[in-house]
Amino acid sequence: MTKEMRKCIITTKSQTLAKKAERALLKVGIGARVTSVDPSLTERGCGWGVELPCADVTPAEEALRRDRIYFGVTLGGGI
Amino acid sequence: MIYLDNAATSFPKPREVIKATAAAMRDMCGNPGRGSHRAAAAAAERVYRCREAAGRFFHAQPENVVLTCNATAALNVAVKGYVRESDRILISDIEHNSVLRPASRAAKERGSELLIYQTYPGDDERTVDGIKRLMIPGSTVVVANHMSNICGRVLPIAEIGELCRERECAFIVDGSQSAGRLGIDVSGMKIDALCVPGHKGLYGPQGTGLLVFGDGIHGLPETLTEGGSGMNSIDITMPNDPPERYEAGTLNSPGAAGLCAGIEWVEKTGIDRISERECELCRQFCMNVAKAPGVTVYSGLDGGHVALFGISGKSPAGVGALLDERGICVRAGLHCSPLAHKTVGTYPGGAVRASFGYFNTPSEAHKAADAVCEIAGL
Repeated sequence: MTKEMRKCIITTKSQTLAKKAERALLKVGIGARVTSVDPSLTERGCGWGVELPCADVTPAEEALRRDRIYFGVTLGGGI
Repeated sequence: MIYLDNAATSFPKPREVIKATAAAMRDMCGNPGRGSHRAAAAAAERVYRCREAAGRFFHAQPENVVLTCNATAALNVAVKGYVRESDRILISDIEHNSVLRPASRAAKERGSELLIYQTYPGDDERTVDGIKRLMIPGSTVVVANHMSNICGRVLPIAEIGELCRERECAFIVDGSQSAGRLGIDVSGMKIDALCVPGHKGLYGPQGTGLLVFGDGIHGLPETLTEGGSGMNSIDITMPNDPPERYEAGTLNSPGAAGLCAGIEWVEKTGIDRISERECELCRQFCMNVAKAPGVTVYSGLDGGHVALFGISGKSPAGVGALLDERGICVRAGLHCSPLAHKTVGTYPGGAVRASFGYFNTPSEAHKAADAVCEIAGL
């Protein structure tokens, strides 16, 4: 599987912020989708984030910073 | 039936609202925020759209829009959550019980002082000055009823917000009657917490309300309810941030869909247009009933969608019943606002309230006025 095909998840504080992130990323042409994050991957139980192609992570994080949408760690490559 | 109780809940609802609510019940079967399968995702999308619509409407970020079951629930969170030990609580002399009761309880439990500030119609400066004199900078919570449910009196919330921000005091606004009728800018008016019902001026379904946080300096109020939040499940406390912090349990997602449609309908129709129409109907009604001997009009002639009146020799409940027999729905009594009735001078007996909505017609206002005049003559 190429990097382009692999999926990553940019985690957010909440599902609401994940939705906000999804909207912001779609606006800049990045195909992101809200997803839940397994409790085994977080420190606090069930989490949320946006799933997107790993190749888009860097521009996505830039876009979220520009829009002041707080995000957490990015998971993936193997997801 | 002529429905003149829009201050209690608006009726009828726009077609779009009924359609959106019904469609949500039919098609949107998942629990938003609980799982990411397609059914839950569809419900979550609807809920987020409601937050976006409310955020746009009240000039707030969508993540600062908390869905509640009504304005009272929102006010309980805000009032009880912001008041700290030994704070002073200031409420206006036109507050509804949805403010007076939680404020009284918070004062009792936290050893806080509850004071009522006087409002002066037509003299906003005097009203604001009165608040200023009662404030303790840094430890006062100020609550203002933007628009009274019995007399249509409007408080200068932008000026009060400015004062509260200057003095580092939390500012809570009850927008129950003003949302959808007057412009409210949570950010520009420096409101810390705006509490509104979904089912009155926003024309959404009953069982909906909003608590909208501004970008204030007071941090967030404590939670009133704890439970499942769909995230951070290992934590024993609720999440740190809105909206999930204040949304324990399953949301009313069909209600949110309907409320979203209501807000969009109000935006499309225009609050000025809605307000002008309601005020004109109210004024026409008041002008006509005022002509009948024995009828006293306490408010409604000079603005607002609420007409408050009484007929000498007849109890408000009696008048309400006689109007109901004639197919006219009004509300009689103290309207859960004894404080406001004391201020207006209709306490303890109360009065009859006819409150107009966008869908009332001039013909209805006329027929209702005729009925009041006829009853006055009995």
